[in-house]
Amino acid sequence: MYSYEWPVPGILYGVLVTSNLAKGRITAVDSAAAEKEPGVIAVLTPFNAMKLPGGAKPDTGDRVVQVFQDDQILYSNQPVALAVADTFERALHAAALVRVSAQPLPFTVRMADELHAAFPHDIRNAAGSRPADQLRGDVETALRQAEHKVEAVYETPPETHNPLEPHATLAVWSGDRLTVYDATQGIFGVRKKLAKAFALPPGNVRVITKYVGGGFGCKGSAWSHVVIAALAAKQLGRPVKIALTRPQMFGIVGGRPQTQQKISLAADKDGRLIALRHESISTTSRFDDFIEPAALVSRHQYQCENVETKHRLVRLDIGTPTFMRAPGESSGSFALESAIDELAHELGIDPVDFRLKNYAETDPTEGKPFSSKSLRRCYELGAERFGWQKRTRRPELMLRAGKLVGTGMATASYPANYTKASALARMRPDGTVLVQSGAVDIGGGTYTVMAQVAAETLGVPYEKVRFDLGDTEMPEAPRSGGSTTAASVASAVEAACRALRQKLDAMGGRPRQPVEAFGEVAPSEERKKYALHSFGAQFAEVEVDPDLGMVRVTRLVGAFAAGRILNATLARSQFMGGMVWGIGMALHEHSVYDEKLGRIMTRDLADYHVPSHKDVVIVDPIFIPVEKDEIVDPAGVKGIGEIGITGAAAAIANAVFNATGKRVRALPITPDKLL
Amino acid sequence: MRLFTFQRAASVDEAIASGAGAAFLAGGTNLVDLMKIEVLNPERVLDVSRLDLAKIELREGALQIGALASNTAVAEHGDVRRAAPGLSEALLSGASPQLRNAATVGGNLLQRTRCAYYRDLGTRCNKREAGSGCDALDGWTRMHAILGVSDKCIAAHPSDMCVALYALDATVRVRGPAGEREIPIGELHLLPGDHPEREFSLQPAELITGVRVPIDALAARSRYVKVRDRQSYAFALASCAAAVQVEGGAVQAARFALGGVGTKPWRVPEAERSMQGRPATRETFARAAEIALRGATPRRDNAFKVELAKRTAVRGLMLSAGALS
Amino acid sequence: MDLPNRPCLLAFCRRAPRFEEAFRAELRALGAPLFAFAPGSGTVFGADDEPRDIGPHPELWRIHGAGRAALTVVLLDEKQRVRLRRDAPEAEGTLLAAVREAGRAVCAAPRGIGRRELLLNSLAAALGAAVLQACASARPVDDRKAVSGAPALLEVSLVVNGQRRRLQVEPRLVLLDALRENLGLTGAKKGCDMGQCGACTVIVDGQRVNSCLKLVAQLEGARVTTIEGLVQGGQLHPMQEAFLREDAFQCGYCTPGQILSAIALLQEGKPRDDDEIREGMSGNLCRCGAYPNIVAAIRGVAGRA
Ligand SMILES: Cc1cc2nc3c(=O)[nH]c(=O)nc-3n(C[C@H](O)[C@H](O)[C@H](O)COP(=O)(O)OP(=O)(O)OC[C@H]3O[C@@H](n4cnc5c(N)ncnc54)[C@H](O)[C@@H]3O)c2cc1C
Ligand code: FES
Ligand code: FES
Repeated sequence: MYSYEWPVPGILYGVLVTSNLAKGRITAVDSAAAEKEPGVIAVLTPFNAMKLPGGAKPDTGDRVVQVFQDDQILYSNQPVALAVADTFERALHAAALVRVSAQPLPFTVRMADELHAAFPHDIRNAAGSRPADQLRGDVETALRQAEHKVEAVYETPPETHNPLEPHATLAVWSGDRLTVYDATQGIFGVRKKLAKAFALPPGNVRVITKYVGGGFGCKGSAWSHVVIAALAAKQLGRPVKIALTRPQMFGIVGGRPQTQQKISLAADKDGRLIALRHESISTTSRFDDFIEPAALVSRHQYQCENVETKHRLVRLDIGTPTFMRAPGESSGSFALESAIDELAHELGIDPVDFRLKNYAETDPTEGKPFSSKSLRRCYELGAERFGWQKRTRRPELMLRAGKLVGTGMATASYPANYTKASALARMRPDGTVLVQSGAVDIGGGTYTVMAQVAAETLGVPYEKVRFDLGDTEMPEAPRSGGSTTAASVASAVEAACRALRQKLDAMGGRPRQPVEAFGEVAPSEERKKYALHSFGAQFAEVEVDPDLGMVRVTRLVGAFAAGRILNATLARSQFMGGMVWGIGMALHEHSVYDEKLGRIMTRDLADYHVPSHKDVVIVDPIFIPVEKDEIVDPAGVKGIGEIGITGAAAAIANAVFNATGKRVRALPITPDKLL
Repeated sequence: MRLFTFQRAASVDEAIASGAGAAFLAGGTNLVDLMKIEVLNPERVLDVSRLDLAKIELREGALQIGALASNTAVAEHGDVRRAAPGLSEALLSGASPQLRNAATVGGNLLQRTRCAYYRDLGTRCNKREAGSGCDALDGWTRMHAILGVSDKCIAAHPSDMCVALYALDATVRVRGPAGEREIPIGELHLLPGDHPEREFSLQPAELITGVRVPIDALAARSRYVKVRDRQSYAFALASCAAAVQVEGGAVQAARFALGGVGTKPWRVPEAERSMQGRPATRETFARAAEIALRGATPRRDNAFKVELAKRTAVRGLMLSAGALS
Repeated sequence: MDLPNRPCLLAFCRRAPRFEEAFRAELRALGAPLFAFAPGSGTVFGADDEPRDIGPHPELWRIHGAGRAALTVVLLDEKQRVRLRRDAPEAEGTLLAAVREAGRAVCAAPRGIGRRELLLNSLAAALGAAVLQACASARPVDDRKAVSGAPALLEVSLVVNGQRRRLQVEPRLVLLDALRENLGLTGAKKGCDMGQCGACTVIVDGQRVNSCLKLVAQLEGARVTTIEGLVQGGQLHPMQEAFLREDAFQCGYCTPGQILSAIALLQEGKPRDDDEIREGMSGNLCRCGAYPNIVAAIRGVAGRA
């Protein structure tokens, strides 16, 4: 049951009205025509919406939302009103009838306009907090003296997650208790935000999320519509549900920020890296901070004495960007791995050999050992599977059925994140087991995997175990993001099941009454002594129409090492999904702004392209089934949801270069760029 | 979507009799879409989808295709594939199987532009609302037209099928209160000029009943090439329907139309004539393409379409001439 | 504050209203109490009683978002659920007009069963009209022509998964919303609502179509198959089994559409190779990127068929 689908009697349908202006002050909202329509219950606006008892200001680390508490328009497509009616069609039409008058204010959505005000910003995410800038050695001198150098600017465009299920929230009040069915990746975050807004104890808010139709990061935060749904339900005294329309997915609920990354790379004549500088600028909104940590990848990827990384933020009049599948590593690896390819080419060294020459045995930045690293094996496995040996180095015309064929590769990596999580395991007298943890399943197979982990830990058949999730009444688990769920929840489930096992053993077998045990895990101190990452190698083959510039990725092979793989089938699907995203990132995805309107114009799935069936030919992930790692977390699991996209766009861009001799440094690689 | 009155026409006569002021509804894939986003707001919708106008037959030297034949039915029809393969290819390159099942020939002929501004009520658009201005002119123009544009509108024509029908010299049969008439397809779609809101040369209550595609050796050589941002399920950046007849290495007859680049499907007779009697080579085709693109007025984001359209034209012509494998 | 468990009206006025005897007569006719609030005061006007002071109740102002318009009226039903909420630029005249109109409607109707609903409906209609009237004199109303009066509902009968279903619908209802919201068949998903994703794919009269772009009004007599109709006698459809076997879904949101599309694809003719499957399935986006497994599932079924 997806969130919008819970049957609730007396439900009202809410449809958001969003701003046309990119910036301004609302002077009036004319809802007269809307209210005249049959079935319309109310139009809520900044002028009549109830004041939130707890205010709209978020706690630190939480997103700033726009929930009718003031008259400000901060970005195009911002929610400014809500039409509520007894059917969806009526609410949708009423929303279209609402006229918003606003006084426009100057704005910009162009990075170039605000570069002068770029400022450094620390990186805070699932992996902890890191400084914006880091310098080791003397990059400047090394660059000056180097014989072989690449210096280039790489650009990734703003992108929009577009999970196939639009964001949706259904809110039901019963007195001062609120139940919310929300399409979210993190039920506890939603609970926190709503409890704060309505000044309720968290225990009064229950958030339920049984299935989510894709998240990829945008459902990692509680955005405006979540609070608005609860507000409307409160104010109208009836349950209200809101689903964003597809065009409303562009701006209100985040997206990958645009980046501009300058890479300066130098090597000696033997192909050893002697300098690496990675300067990343990414965009955020005027009112909230999100940083795409694109240069982080350069801190860990290769052995090099002189490394400098910088992160800068630029404020624009846009909705706040957010984590999107492998935030930082996806965009950053495009820049770094393209530059590496450029340098390898310039040196005349095979791209795999070049990477092996600069293999980091320990973390180059902090000198820490890796908790585990099997990248060398990934290069080998991937190259063999792909048939890399057959590759010709020179970009030369290699034709197959009239198409240019090229191959390229890149390194993939993603931090192995792990956070606090808890779970409860209960065995009933009939021998069946129920395990619960307040995680969500956004398509990664959490239900299946956790039941399997529980069964293995308890030593009972899989069929006897049911794993349930997605309810704030259950033990707390982290938001499903940053590839943390598998590692953290699996560890918690193991802990709970081990505790249960002990109890059962002490009782001598099957209980006469239900027995339960609680398990909680948290990152160890030991962890801090290590560098913790998953690694992989991506290999791409493309066909390019020499005249028309159309690119097709005919083969993408990814070899990954990500700790212990809990379920091979599901893991393969996750890697595959990430790799398909890599195809989208490389060739299709771009949220295009009209700069004069400050508005995203690719506001639907016909203009914002994601890969279709036809764009995905052979996507072939392979992985090391057990990469032993006792440090990363008790379960020995590293996340797998995000690494699949890292390096993929670069591998494809490198293959396009190999096929055509054209180096495209600004994604996506659309036909116009290859004419 | 606004409320409207829904009626079903039991016969062509009835449709025409009560057609004034109503929107004809066929497959609905364009009309319902645009009604949902309130770009089109008819007060009356007249369902014509059950009229007996779905026949496809080869008769009197022409393919006679009923207006309600689905895009799938036309594309898959044996006679169409044989006698006008370019039409079949064009249809199959458009939309998706689901959409083609619902979409009809009549609806495809009259489908509206996909201009992002036309479809976004938060922006100004002369086509949507006469005289309101056009935000596309100095906006995001990557998908817009470079041919047939005016200073009021640069919206590209989206149809693939129509491009093929242009190259095939089709005529459109319509019936209205004043009787039946045939419109050469090139005259069905209007250039935006000063009135982009006027899109078709149809009179009120005129119903498209069918399309006539003359069949000859040239039509049998027709092919369709489409360049787009992804491999399927995307509108054209540029496309070309071409038909070339070669004898003894020289071009006997040639026609081609371009899609994705004009405010309507684009045909330039002079470009076609330029190939007459010339060797069927890339050079001949490139010159024709050059002529076809004369007068293109690109903007910032769609400047690439000039070159892309030429290359697409060359590809189409080469393909049809058999100069490519 | 305790509100009565019968329909009542709340009025929040920026300035204390002067309700006169005439008004109370109207209320009496209506039989619904009015709770009138102004900053710092609150009064209940019962049908028969003298006006009674009940205090200002700021929490009600907050809950109902009142205070920014001259008048906010809220109509509550017997369960204290909001049936209507409106802002108006002028208080006394508007309220009086609304209550008078509603009273007339209630008196005109036969007494007896359903009086409560009648009262609520009359009040809702009258309040809405009076407020609009007041708004109209205060500022220009949108000039769009709205269809006036109650909408004419159409009777449509469909055969959904083998069962005849009769629906009374507004002409603007599309099949997807009818399935999901009217018939409780949520298997067909809404991904884009404009034909661009395929999540809503269902089979109508043997052909796959995007249900988000099909007006129900157009479908009289049509046979519709949704994912719910595939399971026969507790047995999954072979295509469903193949999807499970190949792990051809992740979040599952595109899956019903993919499966129906795949079934139709194979009915349309046997794909010769994987690329034909891909082309034939291109109208079904999968954002999770399960494509290779979906193709494998279809290949498997095609191979066995
Ligand atoms: C996501 C998406 C992608 C698409 N991609 C493509 C593409 O790549 N290439 C392409 O060419 N097309 C594409 N299309 C458009 C599609 O081809 C058209 O929507 C379809 O052809 C319209 O046919 P219909 O029968 O559904 O028309 P309707 O929606 O029923 O009608 C469209 C218009 O034609 C009028 N009309 C219909 N029949 C008649 C008649 N007999 N006489 C007079 N007027 C009539 C209607 O009043 C209306 O104005 C796409 C559509 C969508 C939604
Ligand atoms: S919901 Fe119908 S195609 Fe997307
Ligand atoms: S499985 Fe999630 S969209 Fe296909």
